[in-house]
Amino acid sequence: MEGPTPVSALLHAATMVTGGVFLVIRCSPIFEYSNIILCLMTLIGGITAFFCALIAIYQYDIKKVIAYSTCSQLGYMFFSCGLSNYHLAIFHLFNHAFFKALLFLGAGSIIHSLFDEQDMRRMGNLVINLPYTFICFCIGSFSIIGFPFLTGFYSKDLILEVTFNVYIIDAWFIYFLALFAAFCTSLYSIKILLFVFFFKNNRFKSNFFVV
Amino acid sequence: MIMNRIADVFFIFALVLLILYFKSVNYILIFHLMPFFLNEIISFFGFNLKLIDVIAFFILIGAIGKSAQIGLHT
Repeated sequence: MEGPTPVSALLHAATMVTGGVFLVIRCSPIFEYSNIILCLMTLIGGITAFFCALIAIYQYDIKKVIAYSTCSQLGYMFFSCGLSNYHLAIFHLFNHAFFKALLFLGAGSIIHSLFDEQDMRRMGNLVINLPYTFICFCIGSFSIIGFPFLTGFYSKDLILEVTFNVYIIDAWFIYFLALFAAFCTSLYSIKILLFVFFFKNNRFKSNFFVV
Repeated sequence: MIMNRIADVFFIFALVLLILYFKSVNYILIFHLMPFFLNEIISFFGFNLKLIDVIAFFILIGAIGKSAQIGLHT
């Protein structure tokens, strides 16, 4: 599922991969009658949110990091569906579409201005050259971290709080997985900001003067 | 790519079961008829499974494959 950056901004953020979550939300009267499947969905969503956030820390391709963070946020939506909080799932889906599209378009701007360089280790010190991209990327990253008064704060904090308060056997387990996934989310978002915008300049000399 | 096709096969299973028992795939009709099918049993190789669990499981596999959850990711 790879493509040009505007295409993946549309597909990975809003339309294609969230189709599964929308299917679950739309078929919620079917799922509410079967307890076992709801439990299974909660476990799968929680483990995915944890596991994909853990993968995204160790990726160096800037688009792969953002794609794995999409996978992690989809895990959040899945286990909040499994805990019968469908309204929170559609709320997080809506917010996630906006800030992830912003992140993908910012990544596209960075990649094109560095002549199709996607490795984060070969970037650096772009805060001088691309200040507007830096501002947009900062808004998206702080929103996905859950910085107060941005959109990700409202939905993600509400999902975590409701997960803490639900009395199902696996809700306590899922709560800790989701908390660690939120920690990993802030870790890789800060990592992108540092590697791309703030560290020492590691770009090639050929495209150093052009940007 | 192959994972999406696997998930689509399971989603087609769910649609076939819905058409077989409800004679329709209309959302509103299925949701309103669902309480009357709660005690329906499917016998599958000696296992007696509830119809509602089987349909929900197949739809869940379709959703997992579509949104790249664990098990059907890459």
